[in-house]
Amino acid sequence: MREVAVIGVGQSEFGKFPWKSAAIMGSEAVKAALADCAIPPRAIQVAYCARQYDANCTSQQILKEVGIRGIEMINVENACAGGSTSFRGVWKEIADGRYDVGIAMGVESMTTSPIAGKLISPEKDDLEGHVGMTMPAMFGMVARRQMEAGATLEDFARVSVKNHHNGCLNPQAQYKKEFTVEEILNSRMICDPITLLMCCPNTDGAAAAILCSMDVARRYTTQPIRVLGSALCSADYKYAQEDICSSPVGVKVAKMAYEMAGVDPKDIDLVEMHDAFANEEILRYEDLLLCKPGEGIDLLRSGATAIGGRVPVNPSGGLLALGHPLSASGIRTVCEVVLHLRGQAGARQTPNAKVGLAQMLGGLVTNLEHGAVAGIHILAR
Amino acid sequence: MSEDAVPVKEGLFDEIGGGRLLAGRCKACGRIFFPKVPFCFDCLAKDMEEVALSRRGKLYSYSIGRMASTHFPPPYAVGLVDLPEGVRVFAPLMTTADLTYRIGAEMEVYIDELWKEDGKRIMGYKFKPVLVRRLQ
Repeated sequence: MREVAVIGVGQSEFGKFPWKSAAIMGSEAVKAALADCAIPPRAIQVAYCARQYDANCTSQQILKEVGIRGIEMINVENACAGGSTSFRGVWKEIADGRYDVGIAMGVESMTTSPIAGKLISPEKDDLEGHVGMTMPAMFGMVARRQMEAGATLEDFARVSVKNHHNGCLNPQAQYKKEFTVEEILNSRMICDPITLLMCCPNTDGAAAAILCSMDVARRYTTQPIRVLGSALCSADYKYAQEDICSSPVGVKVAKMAYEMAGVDPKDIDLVEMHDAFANEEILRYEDLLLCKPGEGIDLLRSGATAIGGRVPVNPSGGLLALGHPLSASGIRTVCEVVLHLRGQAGARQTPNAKVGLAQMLGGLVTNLEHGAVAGIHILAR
Repeated sequence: MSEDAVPVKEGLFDEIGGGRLLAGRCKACGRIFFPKVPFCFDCLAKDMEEVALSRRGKLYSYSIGRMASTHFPPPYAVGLVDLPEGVRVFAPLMTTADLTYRIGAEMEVYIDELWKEDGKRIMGYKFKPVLVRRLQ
């Protein structure tokens, strides 16, 4: 297996743009990634693109806008982990020696999707979805269990306060506005106890990353970012998830990624992860082994996951403030980690970051664990 | 059920004794699935038998929806109920006057209209708190 590097990253503007096509947003991200490493478009040999809604040859639609045609293009869907799947697809192609240079993309137009302005529910023929199961309802039920174990509403609100603060430091964030704990708690109730400002917004946007073999990377950059670990796995049946606050597949994928990367969780300098709901971030601290089981709340309260802390989590603003175009987020998290490892993250920079982790978890399917797929990438300079 | 009532899905429940959920039990490993599955998703054995689940269980967690879902206008309550057979069921909860629920509370299944569609009453299962003793 060959060593693979990320040499270019790019993100489109994130926000609500119902007039922008996936091709336009995707090409904004691709142009930014190409410019980032000054690579000509026709050096790209393989492309993957993730998209969940209205997908139809999305790679082809995007890449025709930047002059790329006539190469292998693969379009994927994997809920919120679609971007991680796309990134891993390109990583595998290059690690296996099939190609030397590839681009991973993710794009979503949430404002024109069938779920715009609604609660994200499972598939049309899914029984639980019909009888009231939605993502916020699931995380409302998770929150109630967390509160049984000692968490407070203020803890959940503090995650949102932290990530909105981080978003203010990121020029690319959808929301650049500070909120207080009280404002988070007093915002509109969605699924008790989850309030509006504890939920990620509807976001349109795209992200792209250019990967290549390490020997080729030296031609384009003096700062190649190495992909140390790549892991993706689907969940077990629902009965395997005795505690809805823990993600068995999330833990499994974390262990796979750490083992492959040969790093310990305490070596991680920053994390970008799936904080679709404020209370979810606390669960993932434990899934990612950033702390012991049951100590997620303590980790949050200690300030360790804030910018300037031991292991900043979602310094970009996360899904809560930066925004969450579903299939783009798995690439966008990688982009953020890359910026920190290069020392280019501006006001939100993690000092002297050497190793970073990008995680995504997604998918609500009846009879499976909630979080039907998890993907993790560990990167290092 | 009356003529204008149709179940949300066939084979999920009957109305005996106030309503029972019908599950599938693997004859080989004993694992129980609700809703029923065509073969055992755990050990892959093909022989399954229908079993009626206990009508009472404990509330594992819940949430009150304050924004419309596909079929329910707000407010509506949903929850996860752990049944003694080792099955956790997601279901709508009876909308009580004060919308107060408690994790660990004893709950009982009942059959009720979920929503109306094309002039039909779509019937399904819900859970309600078992009030052992009325306080005050």
